[in-house]
Amino acid sequence: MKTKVRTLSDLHQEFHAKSSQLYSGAVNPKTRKQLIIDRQRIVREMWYLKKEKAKETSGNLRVAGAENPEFVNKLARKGVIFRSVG
Amino acid sequence: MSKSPYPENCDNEYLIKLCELIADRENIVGECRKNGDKSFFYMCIDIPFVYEDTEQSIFVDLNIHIQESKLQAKFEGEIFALSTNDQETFMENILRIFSSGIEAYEEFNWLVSGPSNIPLPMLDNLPKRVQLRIGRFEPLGDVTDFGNAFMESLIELDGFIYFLLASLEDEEDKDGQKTNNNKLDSANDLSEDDE
Repeated sequence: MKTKVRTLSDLHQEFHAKSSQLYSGAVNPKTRKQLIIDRQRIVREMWYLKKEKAKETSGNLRVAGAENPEFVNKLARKGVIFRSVG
Repeated sequence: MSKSPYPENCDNEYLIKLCELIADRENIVGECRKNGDKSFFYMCIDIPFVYEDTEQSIFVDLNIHIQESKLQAKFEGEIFALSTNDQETFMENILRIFSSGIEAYEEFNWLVSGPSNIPLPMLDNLPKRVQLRIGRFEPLGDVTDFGNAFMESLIELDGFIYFLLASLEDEEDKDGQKTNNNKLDSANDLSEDDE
């Protein structure tokens, strides 16, 4: 059986479609609840896809803008690298 | 505050357009307001989500400033009704999510930052109820196009909120069990958490 791999773009479009339905004003309570659940599920899938992509591309995380040295050291110990503010 | 805008504060076509657009939306209330001599649009948005089979709400306060000299509209606001028992982990998770590793900007075009009155290093002093600031810019152009972009931004705001919720759920699952360390409260529930 061929399984279609859904891309972030596919999921994004699906999310928009479900949202348009939800806010169309013409849904009953049961459908409304299901649409909300569907939207959450779609975005959860997006989250996992993004997380997998992030794992592939970076071993360290970067946080821009932090200037407090104590805070920088604290998160640096946990593998977070800081970019200096320009 | 009522759903009917105050026309005397809506002194440009973009603000008037926002009034028109939200008039039929059950989950949004808003109005034009003045800050000194500058008008802006204030709105409160009720974003529905289902948690443990029950529909609940997250509320977002949003101000929209029309910056005609910069040809942009600036959206700035706060997500409230999001609380967690482990403030430091939560803030660290948010930082991890929205740093270069994982970000929702590409898909949902909303920026996020921590509470404005508490500098990030002061993690130990965060209040129990965490507020997240959000923002966005939209170019100004044709009023109709602006209106369409605004409506899209509201859908994307929903997605952005769900993205945050998904990340919090993921952190719960990482511990190997749902310990309910990250808890979502309704904005109307101001009571202490039960643990």
